[in-house]
Amino acid sequence: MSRAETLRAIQCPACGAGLDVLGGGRVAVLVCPYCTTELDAVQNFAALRKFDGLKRPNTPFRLGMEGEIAGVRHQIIGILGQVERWNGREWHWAEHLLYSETHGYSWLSLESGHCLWSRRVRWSLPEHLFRPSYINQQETRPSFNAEGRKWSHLESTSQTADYVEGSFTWVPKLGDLTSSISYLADGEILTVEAGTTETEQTLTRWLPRAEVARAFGIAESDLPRPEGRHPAEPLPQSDDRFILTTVGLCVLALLLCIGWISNQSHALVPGQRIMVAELPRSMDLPVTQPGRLMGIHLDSNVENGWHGFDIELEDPEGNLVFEREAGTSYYHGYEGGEYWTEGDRRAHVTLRPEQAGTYRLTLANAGSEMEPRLGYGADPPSNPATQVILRVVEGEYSLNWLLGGLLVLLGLGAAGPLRRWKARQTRLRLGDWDEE
Amino acid sequence: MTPFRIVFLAGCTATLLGSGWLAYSGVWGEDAQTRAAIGSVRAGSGGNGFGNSSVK
Repeated sequence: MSRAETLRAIQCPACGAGLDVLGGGRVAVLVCPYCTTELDAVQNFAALRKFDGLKRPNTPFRLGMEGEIAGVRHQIIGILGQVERWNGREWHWAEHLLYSETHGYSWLSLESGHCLWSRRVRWSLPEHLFRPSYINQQETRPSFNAEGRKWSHLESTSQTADYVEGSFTWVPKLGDLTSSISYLADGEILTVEAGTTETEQTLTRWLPRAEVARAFGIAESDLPRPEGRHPAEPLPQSDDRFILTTVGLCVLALLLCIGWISNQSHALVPGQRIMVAELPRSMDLPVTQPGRLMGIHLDSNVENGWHGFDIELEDPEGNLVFEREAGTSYYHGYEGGEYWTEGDRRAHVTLRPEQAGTYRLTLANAGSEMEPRLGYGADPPSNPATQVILRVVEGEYSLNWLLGGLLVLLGLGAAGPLRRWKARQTRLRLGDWDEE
Repeated sequence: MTPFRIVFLAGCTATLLGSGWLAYSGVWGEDAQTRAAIGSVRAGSGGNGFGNSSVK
């Protein structure tokens, strides 16, 4: 197919309109946008046929518009309206044939408000993965590896052209059904189209609307509003490194925090063993961190019974802060051949001293209650406590909050991979593969 | 710096500072019985956390 390269404009033989001849030497037909008469570009633009009742797709682009895509200047030379019908529904979109003097022909599609750029490729692909009969038999989503990426089946479609305008390198047939199967990788769609006479491989990339509008000199608001997310739209910017770095530093800071906080607590009475027979016993507690938690811990050796201790605390001025009983208990034995235990030999009291100074702690014996021997087999002993280990710690902290913070940080660390996984799953669900 | 990164950074910082402060302060670390015993002393009782013990 060829025509005089110097020919730049003609008059439509049907309606007399002045038409720009666009698109390089491979143009086969030119459809007059005014009267929709198809003209043979090879045979001196003789009228071939006329299309009636065509409805122009919703697109702000016009023939002759120029813009830069992927660093290359392109001109819109043809506009096709496409429609897919399935199950009583219709989907319409516009495809704009682009011509570049250096890079040849490509397509700019406007689909549900999204801008997509497609160009022809010739890759070595597994043929069976592009056969509808094979796809229909598969129980799991078909996929393959090619050109360094993993491609997952997105959709199988059949479409027809319902509008033509401008120059084309083939003779478009309105109403002819074209079937295609598409696979999706990160940010790209690979489509193999089986037309009536040829099979084409097309690689499609999503383009930001603002960039396309700016390139072709139109307002972004002139483009139809995008409907949801397009499968070819790139996944959210990978923030994995940022997330892991931030979480890692926070976890490190938290561990240092644990170390520093635990360093702030110290024992006012470090594990002192007191015989119960020596009670009551009083001791001074030099409190230096008022307002922080102070813990009074008891650990008795009661056996199969309960033993209580009276704890009394006076502040530096001799006023009673509190007096209460702390009980320790421990029961154990055999039942049905199984060993069991119950109770806790330890008791603790936590409070927040309001002022610094020397507090007075008094520990007294509050008595005991023993469990009578049951007389079964190896009878465990039953003895009241004979000693108690007293420990008083100032500046106690609540480790649960730190562990909780650690869990939250680790959960946040999973945000990045989770976000990308969810986006990937959502993207594939935009196709027509039914997981069930 | 995207909005997501700003929010993420703010969340991690809040978690770190919040858990650190709560742990250091020992929030919810006091036991209720002792708190009640202290309260009753202030209110004028003998201070015994168990009502049936002797009053000083």
